[in-house]
Amino acid sequence: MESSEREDYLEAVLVRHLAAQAHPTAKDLAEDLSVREDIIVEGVTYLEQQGDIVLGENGAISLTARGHHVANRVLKKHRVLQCFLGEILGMDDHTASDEACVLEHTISDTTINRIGDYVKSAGSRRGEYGGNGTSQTLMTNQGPNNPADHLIPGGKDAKPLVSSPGPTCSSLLDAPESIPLTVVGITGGEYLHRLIDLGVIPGEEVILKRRLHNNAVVLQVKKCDIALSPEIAGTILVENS
Amino acid sequence: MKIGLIGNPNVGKSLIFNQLTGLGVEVSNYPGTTVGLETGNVCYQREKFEICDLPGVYSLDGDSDEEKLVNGMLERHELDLAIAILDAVHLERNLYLFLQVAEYRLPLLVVLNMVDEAENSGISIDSSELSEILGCPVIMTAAIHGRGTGLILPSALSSACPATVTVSYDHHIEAAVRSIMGNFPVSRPVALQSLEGIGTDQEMLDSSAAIAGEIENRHKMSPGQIISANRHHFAKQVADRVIKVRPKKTGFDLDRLLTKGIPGIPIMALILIGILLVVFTIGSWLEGMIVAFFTSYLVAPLLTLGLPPPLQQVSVSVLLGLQAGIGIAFPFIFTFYIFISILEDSGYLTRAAFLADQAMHRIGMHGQAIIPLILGFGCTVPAVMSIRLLASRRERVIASFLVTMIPCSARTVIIAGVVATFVGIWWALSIYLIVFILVILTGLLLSRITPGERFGMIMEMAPLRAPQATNVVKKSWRKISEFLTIAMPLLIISSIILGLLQYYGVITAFQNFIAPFSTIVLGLPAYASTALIFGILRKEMALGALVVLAGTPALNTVMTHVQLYTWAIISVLFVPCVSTIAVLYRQMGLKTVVMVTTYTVIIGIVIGACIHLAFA
Ligand SMILES: Nc1nc2c(ncn2[C@@H]2O[C@H](COP(=O)(O)OP(=O)(O)O)[C@@H](O)[C@H]2O)c(=O)[nH]1
Ligand SMILES: [Mg+2]
Repeated sequence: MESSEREDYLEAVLVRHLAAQAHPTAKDLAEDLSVREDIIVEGVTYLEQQGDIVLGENGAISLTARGHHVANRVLKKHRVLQCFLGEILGMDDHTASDEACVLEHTISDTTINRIGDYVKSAGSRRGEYGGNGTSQTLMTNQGPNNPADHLIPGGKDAKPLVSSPGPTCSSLLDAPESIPLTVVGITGGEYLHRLIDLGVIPGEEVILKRRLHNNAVVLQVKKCDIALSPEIAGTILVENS
Repeated sequence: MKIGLIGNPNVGKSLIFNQLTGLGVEVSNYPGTTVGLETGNVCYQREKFEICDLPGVYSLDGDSDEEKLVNGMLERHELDLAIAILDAVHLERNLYLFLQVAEYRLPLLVVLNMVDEAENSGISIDSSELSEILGCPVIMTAAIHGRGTGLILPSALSSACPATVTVSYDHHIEAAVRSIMGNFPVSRPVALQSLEGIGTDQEMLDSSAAIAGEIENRHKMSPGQIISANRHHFAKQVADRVIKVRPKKTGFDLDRLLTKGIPGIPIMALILIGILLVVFTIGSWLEGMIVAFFTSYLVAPLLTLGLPPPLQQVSVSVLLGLQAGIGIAFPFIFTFYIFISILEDSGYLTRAAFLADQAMHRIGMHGQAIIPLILGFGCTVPAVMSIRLLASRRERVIASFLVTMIPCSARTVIIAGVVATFVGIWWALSIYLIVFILVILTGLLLSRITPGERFGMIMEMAPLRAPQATNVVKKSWRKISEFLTIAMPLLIISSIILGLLQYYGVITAFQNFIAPFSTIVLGLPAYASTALIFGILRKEMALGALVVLAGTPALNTVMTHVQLYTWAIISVLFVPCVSTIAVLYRQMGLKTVVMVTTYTVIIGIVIGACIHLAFA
């Protein structure tokens, strides 16, 4: 299996996971990657042997720490590239995404970091001058008022990647303290249900009240202070709002 | 007629329950105090009502025991009426649960509690508007000041009615619910839950799963998540309509100090060590007075009576038992609980849990586990019961071991009564040090070898409040009277048995049997090992037994310092007392009890032997 292929698979697993908060199956991947399911199954078996993923019940695929690392890196590159191609170079969304899919495998870390910085500074400059209309272009396309819409990435036939969190998003472990943040997603786990019940849902405005040196955090959600362990804080993705 | 109190954790349900029933259920300022179901009866206008204090929950569709319990009661229509208690300060989050409860269409009364705190933080709530929107009566209370609580029962009985408020879900969800309700004879909340995969009817679950899969494919999120999001959104809209916030200048934020690494962690250490030291000092002082009183005013006069020997033996034993109960344990346990209750009610324990999260990770648990550990200094039994707070079985197993090793106040009595009195205060503290090191080592070991999943900590921080003296005293008094009623008879009876066994020479026979082991391995006189066995009944009884068997309270005249030290450390470490074994069995099952007991016996004997060898 080629390394770009491996990266594509792992990225697709992560994206599915971020979007649906459930572990995808080979069938889902076949759909996302437009590849025949039997080929996917072969690839998935290979990746499992390599220790990138773990196959659970009913063929649910989850990433190992190693797989997660790779997927995360690629996904970040993808977002930066897509943003760059779309927002700065003015390509349409679809082409930008497709191009990004190819470039993400070969581009070096230095280049991607430079582009990322450029995109960020361009974004803030636009924010200064352009008012609301343009400044939000770097963000997730924020849905209308029903928060359920925030949870539904894109439309019916959009690939989840297209409207996945923008490059300004980070987990609570890297987010700034004491300013309003918007939840973009939770990468899930057993405790997902409890987090949702407490109001940690995409679109919700929260404040990171405290982060200790050990990365335990206090998050203010719906005016309540909630203490979270680092491993949970790390699964909550937010962006400045 | 059965009335249930439903609400989020820490909104004042137990306090209101106590005020309604006149009973004394534990009220504490941290989430998760009430785990089981508390029931009490009230008579109102010559009719009898049964009131239940339900455990606090955040929603009804989760899979914790508490959520299942509350949901089950609603689903089986076990309640004739529910009083929904909402925290006025956090109304929006509380409405999320309420909207779910309302779907069961049982008569409801909404109690907006904590209006005093809401007022203080500039929040005012339009209760008639809220009542309009929800479609059921709303009353405002500040239970802690008894404000408005008198109205709860009359309003509930005269005007409670099913709420009319309805969350309109995403149209796919609504369609799915209609189709489930069309095919199966179930109510709306049951249909919604089956869409989330919760329920008992397999056939319905299967068909719901098919629809759910379809919805999930379209929305890229599960029906459960869509439903929750819709409820949150609805709750927000309601809250926005009824809440007015007057901007208020924020005063000094104590939390800024308490939840920062520096000075938070030093403050925590100071508080905990401070409590231990103060309890130790006050306890020993009170104990000295009580023992002196018993000896000079009761035991001495008794001995001068010249009763026939068996009778005299029995009466002395009764007095010694009483003395052990009142005179020894009472000063320590009561003082300890006063302090712990202050900590509980101030909301500080959740801060401590947050700060301790990382340290607790090292020993295989999360921050919340510090609560059972702290409670363990008072009495192991409630500490073991609070282990339920922990999310995963893995954590509960580890906590079972560590909590039983923490020196409870009964063991403090031994440390104080034997080591501090006869050997020296620093030596007494060194026992604590040894036990802590063992606790940490055990935790490190267990976190490596205990199988099971790891969850992180998700804990709501209780608001900081000034503890109320009455609640603190009441709570401590309840604990101590529990102790006195349960432990006193046990103590007196076993003291008598011990006295008689000694009188008839049975003890001597046992001692001869145990003597070689005792003297060679532990370096202790045989009677000291016999006394240790009595510690299994209640820890501080080991001390009582030692005094009886040694024939004198001046233990330093019959045992060396090393012997006293060894004896104390063994009795602190080895075997949890009978009551602990019983709750541990109920909570965790036979396997854990056997493992914990075996482990503590081994560790007690090994450490004892090591000290003997080191000094011999
Ligand atoms: N300020 C204020 N505090 C309250 C009020 N009602 C309850 N409390 C406090 O809130 C905390 C939680 O109460 P508790 O009855 O244990 O809540 P439960 O978990 O819902 O049973 C305790 O510290 C109470 O003293 C109130 O009306 N005002
Ligand atoms: Mg309670």
